[in-house]
Amino acid sequence: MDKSPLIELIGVEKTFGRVQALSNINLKLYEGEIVSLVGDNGAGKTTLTKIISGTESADDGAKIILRGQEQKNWNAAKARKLGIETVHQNRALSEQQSIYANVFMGRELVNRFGFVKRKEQIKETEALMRKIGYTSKVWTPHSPVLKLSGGERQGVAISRAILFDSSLVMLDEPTTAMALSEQAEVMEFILNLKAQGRSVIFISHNPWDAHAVADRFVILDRGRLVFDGPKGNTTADEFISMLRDVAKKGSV
Amino acid sequence: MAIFPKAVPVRKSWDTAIIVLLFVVFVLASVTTDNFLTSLNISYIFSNTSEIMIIAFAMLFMIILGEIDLSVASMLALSSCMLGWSYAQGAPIWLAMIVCLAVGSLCGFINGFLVTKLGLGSLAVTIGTLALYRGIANGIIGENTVSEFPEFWTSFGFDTFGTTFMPKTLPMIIVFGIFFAFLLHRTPFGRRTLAIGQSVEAAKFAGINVVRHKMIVFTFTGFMSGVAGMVYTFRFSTSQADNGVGLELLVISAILLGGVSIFGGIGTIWGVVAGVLLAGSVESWLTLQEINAQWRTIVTGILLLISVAGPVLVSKSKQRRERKALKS
Repeated sequence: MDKSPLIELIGVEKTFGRVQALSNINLKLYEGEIVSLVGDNGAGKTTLTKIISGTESADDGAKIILRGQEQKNWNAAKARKLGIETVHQNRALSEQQSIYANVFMGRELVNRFGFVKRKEQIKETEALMRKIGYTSKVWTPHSPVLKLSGGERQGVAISRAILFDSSLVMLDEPTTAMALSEQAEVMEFILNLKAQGRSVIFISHNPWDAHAVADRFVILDRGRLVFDGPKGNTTADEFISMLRDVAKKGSV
Repeated sequence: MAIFPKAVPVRKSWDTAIIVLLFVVFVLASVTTDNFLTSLNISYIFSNTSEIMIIAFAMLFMIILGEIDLSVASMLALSSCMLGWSYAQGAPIWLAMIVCLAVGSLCGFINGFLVTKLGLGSLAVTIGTLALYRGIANGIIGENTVSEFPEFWTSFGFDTFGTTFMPKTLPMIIVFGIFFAFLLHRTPFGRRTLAIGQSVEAAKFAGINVVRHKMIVFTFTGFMSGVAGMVYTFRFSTSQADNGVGLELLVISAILLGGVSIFGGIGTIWGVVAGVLLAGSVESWLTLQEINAQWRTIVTGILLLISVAGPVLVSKSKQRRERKALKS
């Protein structure tokens, strides 16, 4: 593993009115590792990913350093351009739009006159669908996303990250409300991302899933980072017991 | 690709239904009214709907975004008043026209600023600016009217090409139509407009700058209201504060009639063109039948209701059919 971090967060704080959603978060993410980000509801996991993805801004004083370069005016377009992709259950895809429109949303292929290269987008989406294992002939690049199952939707969102060569993919509760077979599909997608050398932040309420794919655990509790360490030989039971400790005492 | 069934959203069938309905109205009106299918009347239909069409091209983007601008008719009036006022003050007509377009754009920009930067609802903001812009127009021109404009421009607003049914404004409207059709259906800007309308959150995650996008749409809606103000002024050779009163409802009803979803995210230019022409044709038909203005207003209201309820009913009946097919 390359020891220079892909992204480093220093002193990240976020307040919503009187609520301190994040408090002095310092975190480094390295290339090609899967970090399981866990914590109870309201721990600040989603807020943290939103700050990394640029859809939410941190309070003044925070530093975001990407490949050694401190980033100013961090926003979603910049984050995406620099290879940070977010996969949210039910939220990162526009349900009524087609699969191909979703794949290329915000990054449309255009010709020299500025017109969308629709046929090329459809062709690339078709190839991508084959690549990620869409064998069903029912779905085409034109199919609206709302007709897909939860696992298939996540497949589209994750494949979007693959197509655009993202270096960091954040998955926020990607397996919520999914059947077991669909969950397995998504876990396969995640391991695939790592095999391709990408970094992954995986948020899940399911400790077994979080344990299964992780190289490192980061635990948040009420906006504070209370644990950041490698998985090593930690078993799933030990990991769950750590989470119980955090819930009871606020520390491991 | 051909082996895959292509998804056909219900809205597409509504677009088609409107085009068929337009054809039916044309046939019925031609059969029941002697003067409907004459070049003079067709020219009237095009002329009478020109401002509605011009504003509708921009308002289509607004409604697809999930926003609304109720101040378009007031922006038309204020732009028109600024055109007349600056011309009356001695400005050359080209400069007065630039002032007219600039005022429209500025009004649209202010609406956009209040909605996007201050986070206010577009309905509330534009109800406010509807009154504000009309009030400013009144303040500038008062009870007066300016009706002396160069003949070249008034004939542009009113005349047709030779003895044809084509009003002189029609080529300009066609150019705008083609421009907005390409903008909506063939450019990233259009694709992003649809994406924002369907899910703001998904659009944000996709890195789309939603605030900037909305600002642009509000501003060009103001610009197009300015263009409509110019056409209106020259067509009636009148610049006055009550120009275009109530036009916003006609624009919105024609757009919704054209299959654009009031909830955002769905709409086509051809649907809007058909919706505007349908509303204009029905209006012309009723006028030729000597049906009074009150009844025409009632018909406009009914059309608006049909346009909102129609697609929902079509969608529900489709779902019912699908459920039935699934059971059987």
